[in-house]
Order: sequence, then C-alpha cells, then structure tokens
Amino acid sequence: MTIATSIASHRDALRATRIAAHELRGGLSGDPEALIVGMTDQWSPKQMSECLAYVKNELGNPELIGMMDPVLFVNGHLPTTQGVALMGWEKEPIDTGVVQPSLNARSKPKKAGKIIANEYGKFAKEFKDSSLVLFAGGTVLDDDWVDQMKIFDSAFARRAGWMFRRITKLVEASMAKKGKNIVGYVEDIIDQLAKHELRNVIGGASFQRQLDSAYEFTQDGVKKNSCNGLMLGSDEYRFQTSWGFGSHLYSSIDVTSVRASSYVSEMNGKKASQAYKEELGLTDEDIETHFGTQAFANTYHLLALEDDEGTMYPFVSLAPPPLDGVLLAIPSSKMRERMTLHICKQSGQDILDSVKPTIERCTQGIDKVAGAMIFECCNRVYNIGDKITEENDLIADALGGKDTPYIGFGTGGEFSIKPLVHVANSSIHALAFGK
Amino acid sequence: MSVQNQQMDPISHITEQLQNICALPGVEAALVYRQDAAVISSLTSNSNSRNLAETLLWLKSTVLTAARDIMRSNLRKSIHEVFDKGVLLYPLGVFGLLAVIAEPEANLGLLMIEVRRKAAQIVEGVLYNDYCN
Repeated sequence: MTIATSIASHRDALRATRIAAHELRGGLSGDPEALIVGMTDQWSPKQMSECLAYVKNELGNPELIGMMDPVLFVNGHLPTTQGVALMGWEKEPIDTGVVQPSLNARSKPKKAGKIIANEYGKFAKEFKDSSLVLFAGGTVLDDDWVDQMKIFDSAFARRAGWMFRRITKLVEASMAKKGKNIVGYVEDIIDQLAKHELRNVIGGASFQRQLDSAYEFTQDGVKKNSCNGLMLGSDEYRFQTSWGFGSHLYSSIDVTSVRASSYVSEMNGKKASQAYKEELGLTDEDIETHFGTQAFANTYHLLALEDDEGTMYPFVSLAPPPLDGVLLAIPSSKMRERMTLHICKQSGQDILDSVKPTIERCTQGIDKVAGAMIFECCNRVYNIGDKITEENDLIADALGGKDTPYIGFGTGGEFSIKPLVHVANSSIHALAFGK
Repeated sequence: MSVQNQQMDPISHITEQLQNICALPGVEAALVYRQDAAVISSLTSNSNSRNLAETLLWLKSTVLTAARDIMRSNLRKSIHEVFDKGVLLYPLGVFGLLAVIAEPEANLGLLMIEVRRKAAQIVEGVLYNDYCN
C-alpha cells in the first residue's frame, strides 16, 4: 500500500492546489483511491470548488473528503496557513468508503448521527478492524454575535427563566437551520455512534477565523453544514485513536447558575464575568488584547469537567467584556445548573509536552505505522505559533520517522469517542493505522 | 528544490513570496533586507494603515542592529511591537532578513507559521552568492 502526502502554500488557491497535486502524484505509482483534502480558510467557495474539480480531474476522480481550517500540516514539511494539503492512498489493504448524509447536520444532528452510524456499522462488519474519520461543519456566527447575546443579561432573561430557555432553544434551532451556531451539535452525532458501540471514531470541524462561514468537501464539491465520514476498513491493519491536551491545574471555579444552554450567569455566587476575571486575574483590557482577535476564546485558561476516574475534559470559555455572563463550549447536554470546573493553564510548553504521549498512545500495539491523521485545536496553534514545526517533529518521532505519512488539521473543534464527553476543546486527537 | 521554487530568477522569487505574505490576513508590509540593511525588495498591502510610515522609518533605523543581533546570537526570530503594530523579523540564512509588519489585530501566532515557511522558501529559492557580495 502506498500513502503519500503533499502540502503547498500560495496566495492563489488553484496554484497551491496544482503544486500539491503534482507533488502527491510524484509520491504515488498511480491514481489514489481515496483522497483527503485540506484547504486553508481564506478562499471563497467558488475558488475551493475550482480546486476540488482540478484535483478530481488530475488525480483520477478518487473518493474525496476534507474541509477548510486555518492551519494544515503534513509529514516532512513546514505547516501552512495559506495553502492546500493532500493525503492520498492507493490499493489494499485498506478499503475506504465515504458517508455523506444529505441534510443539514447542524439542525438535525441526531438524524445525521443515525445515518452515519448505520452506514459505518454495516461497513465495519466486513473487516477485522475499522475506523471512521468525521469532517463536520464548525462554528459560524453573525458579526454582531456579542451584541445579540446581550439579551441574556436582560431583566426578562433573569425573571422569566424557563420561558427564556424555551425561546433560546427556538432561536438556536432557527440559527442552526441558517447554518449558524457553535460546534456542540457534533456531540449528538457522536452520541449516536457511541450508542451503536462503534469505536475508533475521530474527527474535526471546519473553521474560518472570521467565523462567518465554514466549508467541508466531498466528491460532490464544497458543502456547508454537513458532517461527512471517511470509513476505513482492513483485515491486515489495526486502527487506534487517542486524545490528549496539555495543561497544569491552576484552581477551580463553581458554576452556580446557568441562564440558557451554555451561557453561565453566575460563578462562585457572583456575576459570572466578575468571578471569572477575579479567579483568572484578568482585566477587560487583557481579554480584548489577548483574545479579542479570536472571538474572545480564552486559549490560555481551559475550564475542565472531571469524570469519576479523574480524567479532565477541557473546554474553551468566552467572556466578552460587554457581557455579564460567561459562555462555555461545553455541550449543552453536559451543562448543569451547579457544577465545579477545574481551571487549567495551557502554556506553549504544556501543548508541546502533550503531543508525544498522545501519539504514542495511539501507536501502541502497532509495530509499523503506515499512516496517521491528526485533528488539533487551532487554539493550540494560536498559542504555539511557529513552534508548530517542533510539534510536527514530535509527531513524526512518535510515528516512527518523517517518512511516515500523516495529515493534520488545525480545527475549530475536535472529537473522538470518550467515556464522559466526546467533544473537547484545545486538545489533540489522533488516529494511527498499520500492522 | 520544491516545485514552487523552480524556474524563477531570485528577485522575482522574492517578490512572489512577498506578494504571498502581503495576501495573508493582517499583514501591512513585507520587506527583504540584505545583511547590510539594504532593501532588496519590499511590498505593502492595500490597507489604509495609520503609522505605517513611522513603523517603516523605525525599521530602517533598527534593521541593521537587529540583523547583527539575529546573526550573532543565531536567533530564530525577533518580535517587536512598534506603534501598536507587530513587527516580525526572520533571518534568511546568511543572506539577509525578512521583515513583516502586521496590524494590531493580526493573529501573530498564525502569522508566524506562514512567515517562517515563506522565509524558508525565500532561502531555498535564492542563490546566496548573488547577494552576499
């Protein structure tokens, strides 16, 4: 089996695609049977469609899946934030299939989850081992989303709690139909897969820095609000996933009142934003300066849920200065009116320290790794900047060398099947396969 | 040498990379200096930025010292905040220096990834001897 990867950077999407496709072809003996396509987030759907058409035409119309994200990386090259990354493979022993529910997965996540679970369940039965890699639509919000959220601090929201929650759910449903909202809906999709006891599932969400669109790719072209899966099955190869995040425990904070969905109105018995800033030692100016360019997502302090075994599940929090509350990226099904969250600090070194153990866990029991896929939160990449090249080296070492092909996405949400929650933020999720 | 760097004279190659850098979100200007602070090529993006001229002036007065520091101490990069703008300086091997001026709102973490890549591509595509003497 031959697997090849390529990456190219250029301001012109089509030119970057041409270079990447040319280099990928050089690494393969024939046309690839399946292809993963990653594009960075600055191009229009029309430009991306042209690129996909070029790739399909040039590489023999393989099964195709992928998404756009701010950062892409492959083995043996510097990562890019302005380019195209490809991973293609040919011949046995891995069989592939693509599942693409034709509905708005954001507004009908359970239905999408059932379709994917059924398709993947049937596929998995035909092989000794298998894996499912999901590419889902990421967070999309209006430009004035912070102003829109001010209603959560209104007297009506305070006094008419249950009615406000009902209205909020209707508003969220309407947003989802229009292709907006955060990536928490994926939890419902993965729940369906977990219910069917399907394993080795990982994936990531598409993401655009401006938060105004997010696109996924399939054989049919550029998609929006979709969740598509690449199914991998083999009788010879093993598949294994793992996840991890880097941080050190700092303190804890109590959620004492939740107004709606993931909007926390009180923490430590005080106004949530006040308690949050006190506990983390932040000012409004700090938040504006450090997190204002990334939708106020606090990438340095993660708020983590802990399960009975002491495993932490990290989530990003957002405390835009105009709001009295704090937004948590915890899936709404896991939110409780009262709960304790651990505050973890995530430094650049913590991020680098978490890479090797995570990758090594997913290669355990695999003698020779044939390939890997990595989904890493773009928040981690914001923090480590160009040290991502060191991270790339650590990944290559853990996979057995720079020649082991892998493709990585700096995602806006990453997930795999885990005991307590399936979606976590600021984490790295990996899939390795081999003999 | 990768496919992208083939068949291009060094100046065109540098300009091409500077055009790529200026197309990145948040970049206001990009310049390539020789070690003796002579400008080889420069490009600004279309932003109507305040203080760009002052930042360029600061860069002109600083770049020689910065280049010496970077070369002498073998630094991988140097980051400055000038008039609210981020200024990234990356060494181009023994040949010179790449300077990128970014808007205050630019995400420097992401910018650094691509600028490092472009710096490597400039080095790869340029014959040192053409400019070192």
